[in-house]
Amino acid sequence: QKVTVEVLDHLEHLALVDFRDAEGVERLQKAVQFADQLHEVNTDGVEPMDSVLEDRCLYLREDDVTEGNCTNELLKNAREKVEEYFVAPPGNIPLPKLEERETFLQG
Amino acid sequence: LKGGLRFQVSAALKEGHVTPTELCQRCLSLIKSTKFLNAYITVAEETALKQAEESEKRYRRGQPLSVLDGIPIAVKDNFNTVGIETTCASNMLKGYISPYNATVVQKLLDQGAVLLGKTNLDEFAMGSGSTDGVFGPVRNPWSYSRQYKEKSVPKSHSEDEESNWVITGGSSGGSAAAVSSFTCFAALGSDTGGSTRNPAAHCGVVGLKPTYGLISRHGLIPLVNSMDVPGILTRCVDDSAVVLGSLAGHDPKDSTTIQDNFKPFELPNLTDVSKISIGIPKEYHAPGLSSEILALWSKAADLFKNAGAKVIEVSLPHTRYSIVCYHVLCTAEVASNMARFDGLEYGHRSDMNKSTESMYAATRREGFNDVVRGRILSGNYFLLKQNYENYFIKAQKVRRLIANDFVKVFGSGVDILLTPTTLSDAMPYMEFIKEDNRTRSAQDDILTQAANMAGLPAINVPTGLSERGLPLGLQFIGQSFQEKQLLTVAKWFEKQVKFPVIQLEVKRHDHGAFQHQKSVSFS
Repeated sequence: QKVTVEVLDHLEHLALVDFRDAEGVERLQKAVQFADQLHEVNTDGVEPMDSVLEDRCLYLREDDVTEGNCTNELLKNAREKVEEYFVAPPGNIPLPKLEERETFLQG
Repeated sequence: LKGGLRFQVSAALKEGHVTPTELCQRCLSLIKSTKFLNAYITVAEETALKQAEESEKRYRRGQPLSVLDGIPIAVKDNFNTVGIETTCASNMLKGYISPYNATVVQKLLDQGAVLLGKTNLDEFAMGSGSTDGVFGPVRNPWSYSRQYKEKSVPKSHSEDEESNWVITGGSSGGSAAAVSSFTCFAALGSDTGGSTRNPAAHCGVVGLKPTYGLISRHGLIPLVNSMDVPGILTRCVDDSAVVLGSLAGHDPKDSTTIQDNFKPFELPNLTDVSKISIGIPKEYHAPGLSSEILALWSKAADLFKNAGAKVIEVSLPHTRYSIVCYHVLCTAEVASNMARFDGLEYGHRSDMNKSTESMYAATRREGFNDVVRGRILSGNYFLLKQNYENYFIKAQKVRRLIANDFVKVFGSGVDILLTPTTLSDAMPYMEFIKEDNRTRSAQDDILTQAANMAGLPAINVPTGLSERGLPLGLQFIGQSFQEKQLLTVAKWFEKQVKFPVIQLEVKRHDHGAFQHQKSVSFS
């Protein structure tokens, strides 16, 4: 059962990462095949495990401000900034559809 | 340089037989002579010397901060360090200088350790060879050992030496190589599926994976939040206990660290193992396990038996599914964790400016290698609405079964499990790259990552040399938060097997072939 082009396209959108070439797509197909072995295991009545520390209470600390005021430090690593803002290109423009963008999946 | 932390080097520093600056300079010089190993991405020469000078002042006043004061250490390049680049061996973080130290780094610095530099790894710690980073592969120091050279049959002259070198294993290969080649006394690695224990086995050093929740992950760039732990690489078990003691404990900045009070411990010199029960999980006789390692494992079991310990075969029935389970959970968490790399706040940013989404896509296309991109895409696949239940949730259920296997075995009276760490000795690089990263990881992680699945502590102890003259290690897996018991048994074992010192043949910058330099000067 191969992964369809629609799903591959959808994944490129979600991940904002490209498959790049046939090898990339094949890599995913193999990964899914590999993961399918999980279905051999009987997990009836078994609860999913999120964390090995599930039997302990998650630590909550007091709501006290102990650090901050490090705007300059944080802005140092950003390439595009204006005053205290990170600058992003315009949002609300969706990634071009499969037919319109440069992606290996077109072929 | 070959002395152990606890009883030799620290004593030498205290008594003034050697000064922190001398020690630091020797290590820096050795790093230069072993540059071809490619173990270090960044060497922080200036800051290290400054730290060494400060340490020297403290020793002169008779006020060292701790047993680690003045001790040169190295840190894997996926831990944040102030003022020193943190790259994760990726184009995505080239040039990134963190504004904060990872908690474990801060703890080491607070105790006076001298940070020599950041070590090489697989990109974003994804891999089992330390071959897939943008700064190139790390070479196993044992490739240049007399032990290896004696056993290899040269087909042609020096050409063969160049192409014959073996991998360190991974992903903490740089750290393992750094410790193995004497350029530092201890190094930090990370362990998500075996990334500290695997290179430890291949490089003949001690690699400790602590219990999940014991050591803070704050500042460790995350791969799999529910499995990652900082790893400790040293040349002997006693040293790993020292480093563990300085790092373990609750961190308010990492809510996944347990709140129990941690008391650093010194390892007793165990002489009587008759009260110990060692379990030998039969499923760890995995397909592809070399006959050499099988024999070594068997010999080790007999060693315990003959010394009076109870040695029994046990079963961890879901072992063969742990690698598949890991594959799904790891890629799923990676898909989430890598989402933060979008070029806006830090790291690489593409020049593409048409829209936010296209900028993110271009940045990630330019910044990540195939391995990282592959895992992100796979992870996103398993997390799709139509797949979530069948893959992600299913894997989480299988995870519980794997963890329960261990609970049952430890509950039946077994104290420690003894298993191989790797399937064979280190492979030549030219052979390793014939298969892709995912295949190799699936093969190499098989013996190590169930411990990450269950959050248990595990340690690689160098045990013997293979027919090719390369290190072979064995793994001990302990019970949650029972590091003292685990390390005590590991130390006893280490004493019995007397793993040979590497006879590294390297041209030094200053005089003398250093393999003749014994630890006499430090005792």
